[in-house]
Amino acid sequence: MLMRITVTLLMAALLVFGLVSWADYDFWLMGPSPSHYTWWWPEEMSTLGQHADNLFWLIMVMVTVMFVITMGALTYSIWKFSAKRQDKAVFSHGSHKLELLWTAIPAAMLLVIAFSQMSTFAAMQFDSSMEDENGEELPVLCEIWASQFDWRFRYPGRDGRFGTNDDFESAYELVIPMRDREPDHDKKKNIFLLRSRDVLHSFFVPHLRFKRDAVPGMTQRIWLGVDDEQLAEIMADREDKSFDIICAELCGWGHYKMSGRVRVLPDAEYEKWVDEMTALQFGNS
Amino acid sequence: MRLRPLTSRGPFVLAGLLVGVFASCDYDPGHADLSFGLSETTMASLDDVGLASSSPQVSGALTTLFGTPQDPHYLITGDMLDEDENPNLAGEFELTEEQWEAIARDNRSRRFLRQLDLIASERFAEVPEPLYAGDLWAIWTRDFAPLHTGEASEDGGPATTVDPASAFPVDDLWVPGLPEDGATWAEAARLLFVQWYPSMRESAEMYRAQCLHCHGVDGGGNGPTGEFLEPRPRDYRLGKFKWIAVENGKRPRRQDLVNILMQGAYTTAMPNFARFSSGQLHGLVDYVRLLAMRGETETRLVLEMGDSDSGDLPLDTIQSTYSAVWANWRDADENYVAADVVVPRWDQMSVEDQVTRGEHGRELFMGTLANCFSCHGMDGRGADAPNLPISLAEVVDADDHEIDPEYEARGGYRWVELKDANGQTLTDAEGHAKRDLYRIKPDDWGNPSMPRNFTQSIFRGGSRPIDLYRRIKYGITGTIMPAAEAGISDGDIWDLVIYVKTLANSTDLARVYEHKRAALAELHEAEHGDAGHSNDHDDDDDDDDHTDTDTNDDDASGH
Repeated sequence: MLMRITVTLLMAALLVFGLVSWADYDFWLMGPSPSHYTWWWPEEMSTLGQHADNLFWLIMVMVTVMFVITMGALTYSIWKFSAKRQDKAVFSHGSHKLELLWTAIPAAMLLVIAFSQMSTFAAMQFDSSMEDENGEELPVLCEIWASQFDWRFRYPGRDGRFGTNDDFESAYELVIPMRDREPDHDKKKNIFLLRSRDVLHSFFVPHLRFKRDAVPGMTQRIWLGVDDEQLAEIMADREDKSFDIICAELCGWGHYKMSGRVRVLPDAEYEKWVDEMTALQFGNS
Repeated sequence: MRLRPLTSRGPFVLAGLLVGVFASCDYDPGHADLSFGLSETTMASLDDVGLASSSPQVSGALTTLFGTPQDPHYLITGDMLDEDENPNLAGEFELTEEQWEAIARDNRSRRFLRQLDLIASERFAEVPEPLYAGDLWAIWTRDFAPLHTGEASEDGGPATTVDPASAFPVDDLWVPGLPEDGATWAEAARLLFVQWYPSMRESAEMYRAQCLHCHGVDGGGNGPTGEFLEPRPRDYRLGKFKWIAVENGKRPRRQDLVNILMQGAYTTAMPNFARFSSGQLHGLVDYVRLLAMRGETETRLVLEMGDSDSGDLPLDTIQSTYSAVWANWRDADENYVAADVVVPRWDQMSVEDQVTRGEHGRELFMGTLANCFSCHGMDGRGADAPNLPISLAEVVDADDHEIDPEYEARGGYRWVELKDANGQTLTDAEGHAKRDLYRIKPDDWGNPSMPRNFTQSIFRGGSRPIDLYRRIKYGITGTIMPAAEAGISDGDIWDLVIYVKTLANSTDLARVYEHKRAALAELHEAEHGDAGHSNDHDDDDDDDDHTDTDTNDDDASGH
């Protein structure tokens, strides 16, 4: 009896601890945090963000239901059938029906997930999503270089070509245009090349619901699109004008230092920024 | 045998484990016992002159001058007061107005975002303690107590909770940047956070958290992580920094160090620290300067001690050494160079001009005046070149037992096969290749010199043309990269920059080749008239070969 009570109390304590630390960010961080930080997903502002969130919730609900059912059954069994020292072990050959049932249900769930994510996956990952109507590759906005332990963004400069003398680099801050001149929501795309200099990293922008591994020796074409209405909504009550880039793959001892920021500018301001960076590139400061 | 699912000990072990895990979350390694030490070089040189027992004199003097890691500060001497300069308030006096504005802006938008949000909505009691701002927090809890506790402060401030809109007692309390015509409590609270510049103690705390594990307690580049890094972290104690905009050997400007914190030293383990506010970065620079000055003073004091007959350190020697070291750092801004240089806009230059100037740069690169090739190699691949550039290294005796294993582990030694005039490898009687062991020359920090491989397009001190210009014109402090000879004009240096950048930029390089190929084809046609018409294709191939042999750069273009 003592053991049952102790285990129950411990589990309850864990649950309370988890809930408290989840509710109160500072509890874990033990330090200050900007007011917009949250334990949950931040607001999304990507053209695909709604799809990503829908998928997230679909899977979340499914696994939560399954978690509660299975854990409930487990807890009940532990409580109900906990070994009394005098009991003899019971041998059972299982149930064929039950085996079928608990194979078929997860299989069906996986199929639901598999089919529901297909169109989003294609829009995110397929090469065709980074081509124009004629099947030509869209021009690259910048190269994203991951290295131990920072992010570096190499822009082709005014001429739009890499490997020329007007290329410029930006450390830490990735600046992207909003594509507000493009009326078509689905065409607000910025193409990037994601590369790594040394080991595996992962380029993660929570606000854009985007995460992709950067693999050394591999150049990946990726795209990010910003939903300008969502962005305006987020910016309305936010003084900080940029968003986190996080390395989501443990890449070495300095992994925690590997951060960056995304700043989204309206097209006209973005062009001004490119001019500024070009002037800085040929400046003498 | 009876099965027992869990002993009665089980739950207690589990509980103990959980308590242990949660308790360790609050684990504070502490830093009370951290203390500045003397460098190995200091101890060795004291030993040499038989003064090893006098080391407490040196460390005592240094503690008086620079304090401890817990309470770092500069000793204020008479001549500092003469010049109306208090180095302990470094930021107050040395920052330009723009830099101050940037700091205030950053505090407002990033660093104290949450605190300022709460102050703006007058929820003073909820303002949380900010990171790395202990002194600020002390002022807030003491002087601004009436605003958030409703009790009298210890200094005899107002006894009751004040109205945030009432006047701030300017005569009793001080906040940086208060307007002359007075401010309200709420405004003063906002200004306190907006205008906050970290104190040396706060910066030292941040240094401990962010920098110490590589750069070490006293900035010797010998922190616990440091020994696993290649290249090694900078040892500040020589006072030498590589990526600076002042003349060779001079002390860096504050801005040079801030730039490195903002940009990082790319492809080394030094990341950028742009996630911190500009105030915090300037504060870190203050502390790095203190460590560098402390190290320099240490070296000089030991020299003074060795020179004196008694082995004593008189007060005035300490004072004069300290002032001399300070003077170098104080004048750093005056040594700023190339402020009025005009950078050629070769993004707007025609390919012809680019080729002509780059070609001139190449001639200089391969020439004996600039002598770049002797370290960076004919193909510009520096330390990565298959043939070790000879001027980089000296032959050592392989059987010599004094080969430093640590230096060897860091790539400090290389075997080079001996070749005869025809490029054939020489062999000994048993058919083994004859080879010599070379020791690569160390830089001032004792690291093997590794000249930059230009074809990788990685420039640690910045890849902008002006950065390369500064590297070529004034060399790199502390390394074997020298300042340009007097015979090399500014125009020559820019041509070198263009050549080096062309090696680094693949598309530029391809364009240059294309251009030269076209020029050669034209030449070829002029020489051979119309005769070559029937076999155009072969002609092209010929031209390709010409180009390659002509420039000797086929390796570089292959990259």
